[in-house]
Amino acid sequence: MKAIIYNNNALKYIASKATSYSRIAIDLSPITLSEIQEPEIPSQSWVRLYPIVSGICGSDLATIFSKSSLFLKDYVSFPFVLGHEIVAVNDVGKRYVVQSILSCEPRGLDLCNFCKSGQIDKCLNLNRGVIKAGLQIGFCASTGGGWAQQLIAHNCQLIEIPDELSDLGAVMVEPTACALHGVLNNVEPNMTIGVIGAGTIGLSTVACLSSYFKDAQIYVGAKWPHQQKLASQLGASWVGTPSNLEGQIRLLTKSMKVKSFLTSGVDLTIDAIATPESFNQALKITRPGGKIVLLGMPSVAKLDLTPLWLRQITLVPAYGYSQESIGQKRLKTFELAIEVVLKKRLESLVSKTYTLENYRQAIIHAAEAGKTGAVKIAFLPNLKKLKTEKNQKS
Amino acid sequence: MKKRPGLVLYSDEKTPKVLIWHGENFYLEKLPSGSKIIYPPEPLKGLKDLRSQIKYALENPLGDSKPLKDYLFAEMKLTIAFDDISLPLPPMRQPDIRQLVIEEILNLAAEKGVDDVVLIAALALHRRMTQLELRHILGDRIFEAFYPYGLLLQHNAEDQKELLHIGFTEKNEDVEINKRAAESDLLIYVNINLVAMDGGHKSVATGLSSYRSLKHHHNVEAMLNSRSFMDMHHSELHSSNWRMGKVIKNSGIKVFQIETTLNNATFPHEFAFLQKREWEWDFKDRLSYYGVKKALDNSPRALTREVFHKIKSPYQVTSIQAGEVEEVHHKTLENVFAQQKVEVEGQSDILLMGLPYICPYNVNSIMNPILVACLGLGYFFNMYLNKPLVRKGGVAIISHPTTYEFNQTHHPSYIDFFEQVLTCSTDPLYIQQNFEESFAYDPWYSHLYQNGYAYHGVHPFYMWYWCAHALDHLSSVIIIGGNKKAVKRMGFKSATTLSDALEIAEDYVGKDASLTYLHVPPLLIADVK
Repeated sequence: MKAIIYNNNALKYIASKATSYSRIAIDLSPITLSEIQEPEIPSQSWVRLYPIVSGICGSDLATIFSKSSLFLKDYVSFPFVLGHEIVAVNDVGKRYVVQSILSCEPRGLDLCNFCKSGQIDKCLNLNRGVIKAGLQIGFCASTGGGWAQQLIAHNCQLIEIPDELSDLGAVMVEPTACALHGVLNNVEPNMTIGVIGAGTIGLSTVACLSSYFKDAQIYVGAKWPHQQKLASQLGASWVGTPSNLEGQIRLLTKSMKVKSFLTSGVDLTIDAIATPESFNQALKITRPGGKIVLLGMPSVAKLDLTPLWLRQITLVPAYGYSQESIGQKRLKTFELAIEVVLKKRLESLVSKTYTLENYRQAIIHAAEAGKTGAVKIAFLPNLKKLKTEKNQKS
Repeated sequence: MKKRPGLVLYSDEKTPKVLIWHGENFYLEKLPSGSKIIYPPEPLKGLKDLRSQIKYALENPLGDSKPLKDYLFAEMKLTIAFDDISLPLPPMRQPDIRQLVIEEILNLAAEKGVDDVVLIAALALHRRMTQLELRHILGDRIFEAFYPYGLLLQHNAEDQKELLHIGFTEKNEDVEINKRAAESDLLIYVNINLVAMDGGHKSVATGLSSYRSLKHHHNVEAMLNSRSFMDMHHSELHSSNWRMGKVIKNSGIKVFQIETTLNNATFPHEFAFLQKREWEWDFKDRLSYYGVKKALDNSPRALTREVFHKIKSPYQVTSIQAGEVEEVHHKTLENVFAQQKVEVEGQSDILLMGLPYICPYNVNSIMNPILVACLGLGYFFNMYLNKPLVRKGGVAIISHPTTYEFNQTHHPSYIDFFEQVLTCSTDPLYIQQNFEESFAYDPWYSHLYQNGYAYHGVHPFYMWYWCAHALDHLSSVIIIGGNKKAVKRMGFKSATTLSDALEIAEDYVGKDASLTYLHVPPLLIADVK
C-alpha cells in the first residue's frame, strides 16, 4: 500500500531542521511516499480501516520539519506512517473517526488508574503493550497512520460518524475534540478569554467556547484576514491582529501597563500556537491569578517565567481528549466534538484536499495555510479506491 | 511695496506645474486645464518695535477693559495662561510673541509689586510640553524664573483638584476650568491667532477646561453645524464656547485677553520657493527646489521628518490687541482675514489638497493617519467662509504618504482608536455614541496624559469628529500615495498618482469635473461666493 512514512534518519532530521518550510525541505526531511506492507492486526479487538480523509496537523508539520521536541522520541516508534486526524471506513464501508491515542486498552494492558477513569489522555503506558511505542496512531510503527491507504485501530478507538456529518466535516472532529477538551476542563461561565492564534486549533477553540459558554467574552488575535473573518463568524466577541490583542484587552479591562505588560488582563488565555512569542503574549494579557491554557503543541523554548511567578498565573497544558462531564453524564470528547462540528459547520474550515501522490504540495500548503487563505488541509488517501467502488455500485 | 493679495489662477496649457505638498516631501504636478489654483496672499508687513506695540496694546485696551496696569495690585493672585505648542505652525523663531507679551506683563506686575504670579500652558486635552518646548515659547528668562519654583504649570484637565465647575450655560453645558485661573483676581490669556478658529472665548473655555466641559462642543453634532468652524458666526463650536465665555464672565472671573496675529511668512529663506508662485520662481528657486527635492527623495523618512520639524518660521507679528475678550477677538479676526482671505468664485467638483508634514497635534512628532484625515478633512476642508470649495457630493483628493505609523509616546490612544474603533466603524456619530466614553475615562490614557507626554484618551475621537462635516459633504475621499492599508481603514480610496485619483473621482463626479487646488501652506481662507 501507499503511505507517507517517517524514517528514523538523523542526517535528514538535521537537514530539515536547518531549512525552512519549502519543497526542498520536504525532500530533505525524513518522510517519503513509499509502498509498504499493510500493518498486521494484533488481536480480534483490532480492525482494518481505509482512510478516506486524513488531516494535516501542526504537530505533523513540526515532526516533518524537525521542529518538535526530542522528548517525544521515546513516545514514537520508527518507521511510522503519519496522520492522526483520521476519517476512515471499515471493510463494509462503515464510517468512523478514530480516537488516535494509544492508551492501555488498545495496548492489551490492564487499565492504569487514569484509563480506568476514562482519562486516556493521561495514560501511563504509551510505550508498552502488544503494539510498539507511540502516543497516537500516526506516531506508532505497529498501527500505520492516516496518511496511507490502510491502517489498523482498536475497536475502542472508533467513533461512528452520523449520516449528517460529511467526510470533510468529520476530519475536523479530532482537532475540535482537542480544543474542546482544553476548553471544558478550564473555562468557567462569564470569563473573559483571550485566544492567541486562529489556525485550525484556534478557530475550533472559538467554536467550542461560543457553543458551551454563551456569556464568555472571547477576544481573538488572528494574523490573517480570512482567519479574522472566520473567528468572528464562529462567535468571537472581538477579533484583531495579534499585535492589537493587547490593546483591546487593555481597553476592556481598563488596565494600566508596566512596559508591555498589562497590569490586569483577561481571566484566561488559550494559547493555540504555543511558541515563545505567543506564550509571552499570553503572559502579558492574562490577569494576576488568571490561567493560561497551552493548547498548541509546544517545543523547546527559552522563556522568562518571572511574570508567571509574580502574577501567580496558572499554566495548564491541554493535550488530546478523553471524556467530559456534561451535567451528570460522562461523554466522550469526540461525541461532543461531533456536535460542535455540526452546529458550527466546521466543514467549511477544510480548505483543500490532496491525494497522497501530491504530498509535497499538500504539506507546503498546510505550512503556508495562513498566508494562502486556507485553514485545514487534508489528504484523500483512498480517492481512487473510493471512486472505483462508487463506479462499481452505480 | 504693497503686498499682493491672494490669487485664483485658472490653469491652461501654459501654466507651469504646481508644487504639491506630500508629507515630508513635495512634487511638481501639471494640473488639468481649467483647474482653479488658489494661492495665498503674500505676507503682510510685520509690526516694528514689538515691545512698544505690546505696551501700547496693554495701555489702550479694547472694549470696557481698563489698561492692564490698573488691574494689578500687590496682594493679588495673577494667572497668565498662554497657547501651547499647537500654535503657530511651524513654531516661530525666537523670540516667540508669547514670550515678548508675557515679559511685558511681568514687568508691569513687578512694578505693581505682584508676587503671586503663576503661568499656565493652556493645554486643554493636548499633550504636555517638554522643558525645551516651554523654553522655546517663553524664553530662558521666564522659564528660569518660574519653572524651577513650580510656578510654570501645564493645565491638567484630569486632576479634579485643579478644576472648578463654574456653572452651566443656558443650554445646560458644563463650564469647568482650571481652578487656579478661576480663583485668580485676574486671568490674562496670551494667544496666537494663526487661523480664524482660534482665540476669543475659546481660549479660556476650551484651553483651560476639561472633558466634562469640552464634550459639549467637541462633538459630531457641533461639527456638522459648523459651516465652517473657521467662521465663528456660523460655527456651533464657537457658539458653545461663547455661551461658556459668558458664564465665565458672569461668574466674576476677570479675563484680560491678549491676542496676536502673524503674517504668513511660513518658510525660511532656504525654502523661499515654497512661499512663491511657481511661474515666478527664479533660477535660484528652481535650483533650491531640485536640490531639496533630490535630498528629500534620497533620505529616509525619519531624517526628513527631523529636518522639517527643525524649521522655525520667520513669522512677523501683524497685530496685538488686548482687553475685553469679544472686542479683542473681533479686531483679531479682521487682521487674520486681512492676511489670509482670498475670494473665490464658485465651488468645484473636486478639491485637491497637498498636506505638509505638520498639523497642530504632531509638532516634533509623527503625523499619523488620523491626523492626516484631520488636517485634510478637518482643517483644510474647513478653510472657507460661506460655502465649501467643493460642492456637496464632490470629491476630496489628498496627497500625503499617510504612513501606518504612530508616535507611541504622544498618541497612544490614537493607536487603539485606529486599531479597535475604526475597524468597527468610520461613522463619526456611531463612534461617538459607542466608543467615546470608554476612551475618555480610560485610566491608562489619563495616566499617560498627566504624567507622560500623551494626548488625552479622547483626543483621536475629536480629530475624527473634525472630519465629520467633510465626510457628510463629500461623496468620496481619495488619497494619493498613501499606505493602502491605512487609507482603507479610514474608508478612503487609494491612488498612486493624480491622474489615477482623477480617474477614480470620475465615478463620483463624472468626466470633465472641475477641480480646485488649495495651494497651501502658507495658509489661506477661501471666501467662496
